[in-house]
Amino acid sequence: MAFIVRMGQLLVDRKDFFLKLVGEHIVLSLIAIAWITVIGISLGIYITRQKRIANLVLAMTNVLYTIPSIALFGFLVSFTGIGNTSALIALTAYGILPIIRNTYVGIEEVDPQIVEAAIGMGSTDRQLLLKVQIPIALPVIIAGFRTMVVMTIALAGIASFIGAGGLGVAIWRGITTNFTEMTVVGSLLVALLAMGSDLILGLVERLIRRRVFGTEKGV
Amino acid sequence: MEVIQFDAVGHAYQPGIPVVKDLNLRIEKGEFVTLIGPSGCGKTTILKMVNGLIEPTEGEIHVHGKPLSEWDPIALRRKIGYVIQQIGLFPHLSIADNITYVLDLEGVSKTDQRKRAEELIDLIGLDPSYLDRYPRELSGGQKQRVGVARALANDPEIILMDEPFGAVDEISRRGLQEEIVALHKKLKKTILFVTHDIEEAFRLGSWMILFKDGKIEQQGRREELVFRPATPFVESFFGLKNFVSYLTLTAVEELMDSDSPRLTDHAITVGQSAMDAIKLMFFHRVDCVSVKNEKNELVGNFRLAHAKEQMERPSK
Repeated sequence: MAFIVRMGQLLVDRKDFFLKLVGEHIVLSLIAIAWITVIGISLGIYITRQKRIANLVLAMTNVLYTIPSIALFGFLVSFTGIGNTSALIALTAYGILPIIRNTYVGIEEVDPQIVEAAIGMGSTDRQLLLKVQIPIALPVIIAGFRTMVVMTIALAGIASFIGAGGLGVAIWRGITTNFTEMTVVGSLLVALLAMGSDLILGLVERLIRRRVFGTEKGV
Repeated sequence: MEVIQFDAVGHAYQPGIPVVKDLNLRIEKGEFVTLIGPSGCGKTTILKMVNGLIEPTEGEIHVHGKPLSEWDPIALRRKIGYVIQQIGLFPHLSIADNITYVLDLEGVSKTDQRKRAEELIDLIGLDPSYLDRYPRELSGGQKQRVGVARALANDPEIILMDEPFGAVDEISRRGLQEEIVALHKKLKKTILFVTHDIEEAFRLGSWMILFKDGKIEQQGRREELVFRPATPFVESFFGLKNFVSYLTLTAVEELMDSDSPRLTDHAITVGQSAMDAIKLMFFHRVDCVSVKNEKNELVGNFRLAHAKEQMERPSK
């Protein structure tokens, strides 16, 4: 109990410090999320049009995913140095898998009869994609987006180990100065950010699912 | 005038294993042609070659007098209505937007699209309130009606239908068949209809083409295929069961003798089937019944010998 009170006290005393970290954390995550979304969705769409390289791209992102995050951060430091650049590259590399995979799978799993009908009626490839495939795949893409956002926010906490800002700074400082309350408050704030985004995106996902399929469960 | 013409067309998905061989076919404007045959006979492949979904590996196809190779496939497909078995309605679009999908591709204004959707929903006999619903709220038969309306949206000259009623129940299917025949009479479109159901082919087409192993086995009016089979395959394909369907689907007046009708003890009314007439004759052990019209006037006689002659007369 006393521990929780001390944490509360810390939060009040160092309000500006934590607010600044939360702000940095959100900005860092948002930039990474923007990168991941643009690159991931484009690549995901591209490999539905270039099936021969689809498996290769998916396998490569899978491999990226299996590298321990700490190792990847450390590895990047020797190329792009300490700071936000390395953090962004690492976050992007990790978050890209769910987006590419869900975009690809979502589009590939659109009922072939529907695709055939759309082509048979004279859709160009662009029209097929924008008017039929993406709208129908949207719930799946959003599900991937949701996973990625939560993951990126959590992972951004580690980014401070290579000199990036964000709540990781508090965690890192807590650990190095043996200040447990600081570590826990930082971790809780990261968790809170992740859970909050998950909650909001969950609502969005349900809304889109209902629009596309008429139920929240799926087809 | 021919709207579709196949010249020595062949198609092989894998080299050396052709599914369509040396196909020569002329389809005239306004005809309702049914393509029938066992599965794997190439009928769907033939259909998909018309709108360029499948390219022939041999020969040339002309649509509206122009070879396929000179058509822009997108432009061609927008001029051809297409209905498939699983309907393929877009789940994320309202019925109205489904119907006018092609118009949307063409960039037609929203208000004109709405007008066309209202016309077409009326044509297929659904209430306009359905326009703002979604495909998932419709029954199988209703979805298929929407599928037909969608194929008509751009007022195409040619409509391709690939087993469109295969997935609906028997009763809805009957209704849909009658409606498509009525639509054909009204709109005079050229319809190519693929089916494996002989009774459906009997009911629908004025012209039937029977395929086997990618080649035309025989084509003609239904009577010709039933009564003048060109090969043992045609004979076995149509068989006795289909002779029965033929009799059930043929109105008595089509086979009656209308020269100097005479009154007999038993009479049948115009619109009843040849099968009804035969049952009546069998039941009363007579060899001739009179045929009367709705006003109870004598119009002809039904006799087996004459009916047989009518069935076997060559067409065209």
